[in-house]
Amino acid sequence: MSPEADTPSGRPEALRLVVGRIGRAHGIRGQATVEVRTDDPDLRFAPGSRLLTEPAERGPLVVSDMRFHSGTLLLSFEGVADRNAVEALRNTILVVEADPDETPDDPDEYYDHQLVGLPVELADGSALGEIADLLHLPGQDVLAVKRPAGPEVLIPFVKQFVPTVDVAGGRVVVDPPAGLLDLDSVE
Amino acid sequence: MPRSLKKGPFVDGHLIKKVDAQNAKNTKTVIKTWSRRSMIVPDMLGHTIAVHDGRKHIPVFITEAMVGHKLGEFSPTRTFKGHVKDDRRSRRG
Repeated sequence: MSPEADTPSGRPEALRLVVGRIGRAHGIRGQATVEVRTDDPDLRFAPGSRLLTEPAERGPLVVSDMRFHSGTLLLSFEGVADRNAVEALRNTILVVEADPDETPDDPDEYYDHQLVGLPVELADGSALGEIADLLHLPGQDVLAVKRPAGPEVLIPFVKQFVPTVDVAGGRVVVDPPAGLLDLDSVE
Repeated sequence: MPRSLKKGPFVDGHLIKKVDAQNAKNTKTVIKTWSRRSMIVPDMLGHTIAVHDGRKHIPVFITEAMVGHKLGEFSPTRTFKGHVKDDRRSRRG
C-alpha cells in the first residue's frame, strides 16, 4: 500500500493497491491473461473500470471486457486491439486507487491494508504489539503480530481470540488462549 | 483403498492423550504437535493446536468443518505470503 497524500491526522487519502499483473496475450483480438491479485476481481475489473499502471506511461487502461477462461482471467482494454499491443503491455502491474475507509459488505471481513499496522492490545488493556502481516491459510486467516520485544506471534483470526476489531478507532483487542503468546513454553 | 472403518480415525497416541487430558480438566491451552498425519476428531473441537510446518508451529483453531481432515492440511509447508500491496481481504471466522 502506498498513500498518495497524507492528511494532517496522518491518515492516507487514497491507497494504491495492486489488483493484477498482465501476462501473455490470448488469441489475436487483444485479450490479455491477467494474474489476479485481488479478492474482488468482479468489482475491480468490471467493464468500464479505469486501471492505473506500473510503469505509469503504459496506462491508464480502461477495461472493455472481462471473462474467465479455464480459471484464467482474460481482460480486453480500450485501444488495445491486437496481440502485438497486448504483448507490449506484458508484465504491467494493474493498480487501483482505493478509498481507505471503504469496507467490505460482510461485517466480519476487512481489507488487509486496513489491518496491517494496527496496534494490538490484550483484553486487560496492555499493549501487545502491532499487526505486521496477515496469513491466508487453509483453515483460517492468521494475524502475525510483531512485538516490540520477543518473537512474532501468530493469532488465528477468529472471534474467540480476536473479539474486537475497531478499524476506525485504530485498535484490535485479542484474547489469546493460554500458551499462544509463548509457544516455546508449551509442551 | 480407504482406511477400514473398523479401525476408526488415526490420531497419534501422544496427541490424543494431550487432548483428552485437557478435556478432562476443561482447559483450552494451546497444544503443540509435530503430528501432521493425525486426523482431526470431534474431541479436538474448540482447541487450538499448533501444528509444525517444518520451521515453526502454526496455531490452528479447530472448527467443525475441519473434522475428518488431517492436521497438516492446515499448516502449509510452502507458504507464499503474497505481495505487500495486494488488494486482499481477511475474514474473521
